[in-house]
Parts: sequence; structure tokens; C-alpha cells
Amino acid sequence: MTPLFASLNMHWYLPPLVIAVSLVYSATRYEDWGLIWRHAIRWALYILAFLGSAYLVLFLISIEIPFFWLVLVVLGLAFVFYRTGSARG
Amino acid sequence: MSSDEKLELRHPAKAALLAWLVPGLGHWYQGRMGKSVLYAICILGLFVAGSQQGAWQVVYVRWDREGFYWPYLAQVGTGVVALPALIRSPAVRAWFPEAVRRFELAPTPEEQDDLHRTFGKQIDMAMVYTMVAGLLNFLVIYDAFAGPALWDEEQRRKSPPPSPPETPKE
Repeated sequence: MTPLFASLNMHWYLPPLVIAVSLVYSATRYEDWGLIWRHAIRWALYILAFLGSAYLVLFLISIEIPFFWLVLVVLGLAFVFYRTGSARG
Repeated sequence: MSSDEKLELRHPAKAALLAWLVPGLGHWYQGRMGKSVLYAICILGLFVAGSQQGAWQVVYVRWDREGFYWPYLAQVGTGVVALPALIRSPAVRAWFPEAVRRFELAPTPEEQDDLHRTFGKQIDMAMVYTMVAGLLNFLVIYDAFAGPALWDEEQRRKSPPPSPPETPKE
């Protein structure tokens, strides 16, 4: 039997998955609907940010930037110093 | 509402069993209607969408020389909709109507090659959908059995503990 959306772009599989996971996960943590919605939105944003950053790193690797790993280490160190500074300040 | 108020859960063990059999049914039994509808839509929706996108051939049991089909351990969390896969005997399947005789039956290696050639990565995404549906239902079963994981924190947020009395200044 042929699937309904046989030629669907792979990216369209992500939104339903993120929505379902964040809603169900939040609902198993809270009983109050206000908290469930708020937590679900935050969780969905976390997932999208994580996947987005993985996507970005893979994209940067694929376009072969010169000294890519050096750039990545410098950016990582900058982020760590920034977080350390903001935690102290 | 006091911060130490307990959430009354009707027959937790029975509700957990119902939650496994049909996602959302355990919560319906406990009178938590909103959650019940949410779980049913999200989990059964993911499972059916995944099965459909996998041409109804991504949920099955295989335990032979080809190896064990590990995704089923996650998929079986969805409950009764994943149980027909356990019926592997052709003699038993012969009792079923023709239309559903091959439902959740393990595909032959040739059929599997054909599926991957035709649908490519879509089959993997379909499998992920059905696995995630099953894994999410394990969380739902826990919720039906023991209540929401952060119930105490939720109660503290609603009514923070009274602040200690101020000491008189000398």
C-alpha cells in the first residue's frame, strides 16, 4: 500500500514529532494546563534549538570552511568565557 | 490548595494497565479527560501516521536467523495496536479476514529491500514515529500510575510556603 505522502520532504516529518513529544512530555510532568502549555512551548524551542545547532554544524562541515575545527574551538571558548563572565557579573 | 495536597488517582495499577492498552484510556478512567484526549491524539496519531508512512510494514516482530527486530520493544509500548504483530503463526493468521491477514506481519527480506528501494529514508522516519509513540506511552503509563512527575513542585508554585516571621529589630 502506498503511503499518503509518498514524496514528502524529510523536513516535514519534524514538526508533528516535536509537537507531540513536547506536549506529551510536559503533560506527564504537570497537571495544570497553564504549566503544561508553557513547558511544552519551552521544550519544543529547546528541541528545535538543539536540532538547529546540529544542522548548522553539519552544514558548516559540508561546505568545507578552511580551519573549520579551529573556528569551532574559538567559538566554543568564546561561549564558555561569555557564560563564565555573565555568571560572575 | 495547600502545598502538601495529594493528587487522588483512581486505582493506579488498573489505570496504568488501561493506559498501556490504549493510550489515554487510563487517564479517562481516572477522570483526567483533557490529558486523556491529548495522549490519545498525540500517541495514536504518531503511531498511525508512522505505520501509514511505512506502508504498514514497520511494526512487526522478528526473532530468527535474521536477528531480533529491536524497534518492536519500543513500539509495543503503544499497547493493543502493536499486539497483532505477536501473532506470527500462519495457521492462526489464516483465521483472519483476507484484508487484515498480513497486518503487522514481518516482511520477507525481499519485501524489505523493495520497501527501502521504493521509499528510502521515509521508512526510517516511519519507524522512528512508531518507536517514539511507544516510548512516550511509557511516560503516560507512569503518569497514570503515580501522577505527574513534578506534582510537588507544581503545588509549591501555586502556594509558596509562608515566609518566616520577621524578628523584631533591637
